[in-house]
Amino acid sequence: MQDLIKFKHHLLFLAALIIANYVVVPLWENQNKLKNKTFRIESRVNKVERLITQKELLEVQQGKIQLNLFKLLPLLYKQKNEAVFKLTAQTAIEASLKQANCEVEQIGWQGSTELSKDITRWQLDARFKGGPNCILTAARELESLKPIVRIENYFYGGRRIDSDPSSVVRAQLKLIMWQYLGEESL
Amino acid sequence: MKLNIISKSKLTENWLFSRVGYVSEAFFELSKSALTETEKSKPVMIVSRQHYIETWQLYPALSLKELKSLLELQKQVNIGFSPIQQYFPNKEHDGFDVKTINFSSGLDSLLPPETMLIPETELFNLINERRFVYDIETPKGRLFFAKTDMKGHSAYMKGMINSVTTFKMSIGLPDEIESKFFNNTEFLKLLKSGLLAHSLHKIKNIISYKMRLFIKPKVLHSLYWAPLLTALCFVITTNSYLIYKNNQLENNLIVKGSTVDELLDFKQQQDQHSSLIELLNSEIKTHQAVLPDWDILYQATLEGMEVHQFRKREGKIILRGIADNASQVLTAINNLQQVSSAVFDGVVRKSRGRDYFIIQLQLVKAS
Repeated sequence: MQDLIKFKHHLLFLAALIIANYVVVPLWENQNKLKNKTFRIESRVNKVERLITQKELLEVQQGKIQLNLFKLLPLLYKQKNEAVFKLTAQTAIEASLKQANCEVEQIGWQGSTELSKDITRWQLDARFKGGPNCILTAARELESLKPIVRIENYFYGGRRIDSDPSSVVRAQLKLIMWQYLGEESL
Repeated sequence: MKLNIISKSKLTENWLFSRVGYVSEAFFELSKSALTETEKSKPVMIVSRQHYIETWQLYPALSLKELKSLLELQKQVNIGFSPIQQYFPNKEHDGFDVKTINFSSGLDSLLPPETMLIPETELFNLINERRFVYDIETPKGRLFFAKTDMKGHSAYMKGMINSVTTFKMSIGLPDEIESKFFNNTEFLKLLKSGLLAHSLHKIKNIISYKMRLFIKPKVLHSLYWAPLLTALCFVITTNSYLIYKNNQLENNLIVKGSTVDELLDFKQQQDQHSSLIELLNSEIKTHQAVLPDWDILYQATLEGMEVHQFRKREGKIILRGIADNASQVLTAINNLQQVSSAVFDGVVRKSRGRDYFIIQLQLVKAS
């Protein structure tokens, strides 16, 4: 006890050093970490609040998007099954050519390109022949189909391509169409 | 360094003398032109001869180190104001003569313990003259002071010593030595000049003070404990506040979490739909209907062209056939709005008055 009293000043100084080193400094470092954490959380809160305030804007945008989709989706084939899609599309094309009084010589699928996970673009080659009425009607019928079919490349050849009903024109079309694989209802 | 540096400025001199006083049976101020009584003591007090006793002691056969430790021990034993100890080497005895000034216990009740005391006769003793006699009128009474060689002698005029002559005789001084008289005002000047004329080192040797009273351990400890505790309080408060704030923010996030998840899903879905719409628009724009191309064929036939081949590949349209005037056909096609350029592909062959040719044309890109 006498020693303790004798060295009380040293002990006081030592205690101050221990408190500074093992309490104040770690608390100071912890405070800096907490500050950084607060800053991160505050940024997240701000983002969240900004997002919440944008809810109405998002809803307005959603209306526009729905309207666009409502216009665009009917232009696509919605058959998810490839066989069903091909059958549907080919049937519609053949029906158009038949309606145009064309003599179909050959129809064959040439492959597909995946544009996105929901959209695939298909190619189909169609060869047929007929008079000028067949050629023009077929072109009009094909391009007025819904879901849409587009003629990417075409070849029309014959002795003479004109309005003479007796002339025969051979046609070779590269047709493209789009298959939609996404959700049915949006 | 001497204190007379301070006396060069009236302001600093006043400051110095406002902190120095004189004590006999009452307190006196030194700051005025004459000694005037005051109620309060000053931090530094010049002590009247009546309040201390001078003793001389010989310490033979002793080293300086031993003497110092011995004197230090004696100081520690002392209660009240610390005695003033001065030592002078004594070669005859291979030791030291030690002069000790002990202050009377009456001063303990008169003055605060932290007061610094200067015996008045020690101030006179510092005067650099080998031998002199002073007859001084002090508040306590007439004080005789004499310096012979290095020793100072002093006594009040009372009892047997009723004049300067008897004082001189009592200390063994010849009567021929003239004494100098100082009245009250001159006495004040003598004290002031005594303080200012000597170096601080000499003054320090004739001052009684307790170092412990000046260096207070509590004050010293508080010098670092106070900032330390302030810092501790600050970091504890800041940490607590930040923890509380973080909790609040996290709770806020949890509460809004479900709404946010819904909104994020909604936004993600919207983005997907937007990209789908963008893609479809781009596809439809790239793959326009080709039915209007028949206008070109129609225009060519109007200009008398007999078309044998009409085809489109890689965005280029080719017309092959016969006409009476190929250039006329080409001009007519070039004039069409949807055509950006139309040129002959290869040579125009003439046969039987007719032109065999191929026209290659490009359409205007849809905006």
